[in-house]
Amino acid sequence: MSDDSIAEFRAEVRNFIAQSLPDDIREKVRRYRDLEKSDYVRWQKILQDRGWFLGSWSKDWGGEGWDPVQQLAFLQESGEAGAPMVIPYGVSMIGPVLNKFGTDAQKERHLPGIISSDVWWCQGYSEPGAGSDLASLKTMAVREGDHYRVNGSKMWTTEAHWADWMHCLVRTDSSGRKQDGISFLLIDMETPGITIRPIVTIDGQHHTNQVFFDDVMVPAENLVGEEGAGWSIAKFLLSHERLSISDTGPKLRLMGRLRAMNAKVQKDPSVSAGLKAILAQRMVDASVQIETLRALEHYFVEGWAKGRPAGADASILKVRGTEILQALSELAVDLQGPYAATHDPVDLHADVTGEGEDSAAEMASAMAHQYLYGRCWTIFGGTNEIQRNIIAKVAFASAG
Amino acid sequence: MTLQLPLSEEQTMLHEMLSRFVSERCDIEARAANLHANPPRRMALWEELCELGVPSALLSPEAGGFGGAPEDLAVVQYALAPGLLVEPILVSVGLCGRMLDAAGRSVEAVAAGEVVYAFAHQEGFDPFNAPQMKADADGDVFVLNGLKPAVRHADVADRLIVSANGPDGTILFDLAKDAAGLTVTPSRQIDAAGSADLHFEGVRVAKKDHLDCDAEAVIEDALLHGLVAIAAEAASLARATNRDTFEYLGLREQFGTKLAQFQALQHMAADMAIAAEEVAAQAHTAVVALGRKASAERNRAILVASLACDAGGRAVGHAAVQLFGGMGVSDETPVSHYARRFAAMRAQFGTTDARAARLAQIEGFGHE
Repeated sequence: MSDDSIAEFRAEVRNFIAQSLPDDIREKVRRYRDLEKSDYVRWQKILQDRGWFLGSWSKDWGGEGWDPVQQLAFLQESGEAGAPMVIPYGVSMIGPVLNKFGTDAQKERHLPGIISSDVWWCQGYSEPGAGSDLASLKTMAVREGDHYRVNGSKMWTTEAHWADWMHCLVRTDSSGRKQDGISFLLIDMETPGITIRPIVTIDGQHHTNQVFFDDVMVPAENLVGEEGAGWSIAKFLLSHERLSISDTGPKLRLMGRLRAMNAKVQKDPSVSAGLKAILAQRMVDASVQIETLRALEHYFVEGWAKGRPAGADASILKVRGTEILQALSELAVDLQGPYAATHDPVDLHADVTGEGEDSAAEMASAMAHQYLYGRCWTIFGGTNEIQRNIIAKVAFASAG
Repeated sequence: MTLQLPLSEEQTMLHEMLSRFVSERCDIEARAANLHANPPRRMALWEELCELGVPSALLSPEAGGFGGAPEDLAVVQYALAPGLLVEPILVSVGLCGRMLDAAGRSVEAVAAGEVVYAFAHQEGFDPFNAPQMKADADGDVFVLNGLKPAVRHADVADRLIVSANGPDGTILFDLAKDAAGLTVTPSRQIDAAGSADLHFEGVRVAKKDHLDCDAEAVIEDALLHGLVAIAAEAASLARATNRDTFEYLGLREQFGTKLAQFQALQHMAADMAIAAEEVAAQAHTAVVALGRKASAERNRAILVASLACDAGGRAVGHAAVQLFGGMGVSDETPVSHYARRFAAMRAQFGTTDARAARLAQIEGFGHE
């Protein structure tokens, strides 16, 4: 796409969000509330009606076939304008996997629900003993006739409590190389023997879970690909994530909030010139960091469109994106002044439909939530330590 | 030994007793049960703390206690830190009790834990600034109008020490929380302690209920005690955080080996160990400085220490969460609470940026 047509597309996305995002969702996002499942579903259906929900899917799969630059434009504009994120477990993860590896029967059964957002998915990868070292996963699936008997447990399963189905990595063979014994299984969350234990995180919210499998019988037809192909399917799935990994849209929106909060402090006559200068310097640092992230993301994505080898690009974006979010959120908290230690998890669910703006304490809670949940990002999705290992490996390899 | 301070036999015994109290009475599950209750039980351990004599340790013999020295404050804060208490021991007794005593008031009820105080002073970023809340004289009374935001422990307090801008400068009041015209809007702090916004609308206080003292000096002294208290707490919490984290690195296996075997993580742990020692050294310096007479140098030393303790403590907290991985961001893991306590300390007695600006001013780094 040409620069002009990208600019046009960006404007089109902004206009569409301005007109089509339901007011209550817009207000929740603007006020940094936690969204409900129904909010995400509603927005995803609106995107599907517009023909944008499958933007990144190829035309063969019934998508729009957006190139990386256009996908990025959509993600950035949506995030900055305050549209809910598209929950990736269905449309961005299992959807492409089924399109690529699924049987006709699997596609027929599962794709319609993914496309309509009527069937909700979660991702069963990490386990209590297999986090960074995912290949060590132990959840066993033993073939018994036309079923697999599944035993074990999955950890950090985000939104498992909302999910109808899980796409799950299970061990079908313990004999050879660890990676070769992993298979990719689709599990109906209604199957007897599944228990979900909520995990409250450092932000005081329940987003994630531990899921236990106790003699769960899964039809063998729910195996995706061959037995033992799970690891390569998972790698294919994660390669689809690289575009959204630095997630600049919401960070740009947070930067906008920082600008507004700082402007208020800079006008406050009770704040000393010295303190104003310190905060101004921190704003400069934050601004340079977020703009550099934006530039880096564009540079990589345009590079990919021109055939740049991905190398460790996704890891670089993950490290910088998450650490910049942490820096922004720390400043966001510090800018609250006398409310800088205020945080009530309950405030994230407060009603937004009535008259009036949030109190200072509620605004502080929202920023404290950004700070606390911000600690998760450098851990989830492959810790930043693992990402740095990858970056170093690629860098050393390229040095020959 | 607490922060390598020269402690008396009594102070050493106090440290041992409070450490035992923390290990026996402050487990993370019981704490969660208290704080997740509706309404939260934020005074659950108050009576026990009083029975153990913690208030007396924070008050001088003249005020009816048996301590009150900087070392006593350090011992209490250091020993209790890993317990993550939300009870208002420091504020009600250590600061408000101290201020009441300075004004010649009886602190018997405070020392006994029968009356709980909160300190309604800070308005903006910097509590070392004079309060702007108005106290207008009207015959035999002062009339208070203004807002004291997010006052820590104001939810559980019975009474308040309130600062205001009176006809002759800063003035302190001793006020019941149920005073007419005072609206209390509860909120919560990031470490699960309680707080409240206090809106004063024509609150009338008898002139006799103002504290007869040099209000500016008494406030400054209280704030410095507060900063030193959290410096000692930060030193202890950094030590506890490291202990938990290093133990975990020696237990948790990934890629067929203990996390402690990975050099990248060893270096993170080394930085945490360095930070904890720096925090301890600065906390020690702050305690010693607090024992000196009021001076710009004393303020400078305490501000430097408070900035160093924030930087070091916060770095330790963040690194611990990171090294624990997913478990580090779980509410069930103590280090996630340690990190939140460090976040709360960063904003207690002024934001860190405000402390930095004040230090720059004392040092003459700026052009103000």
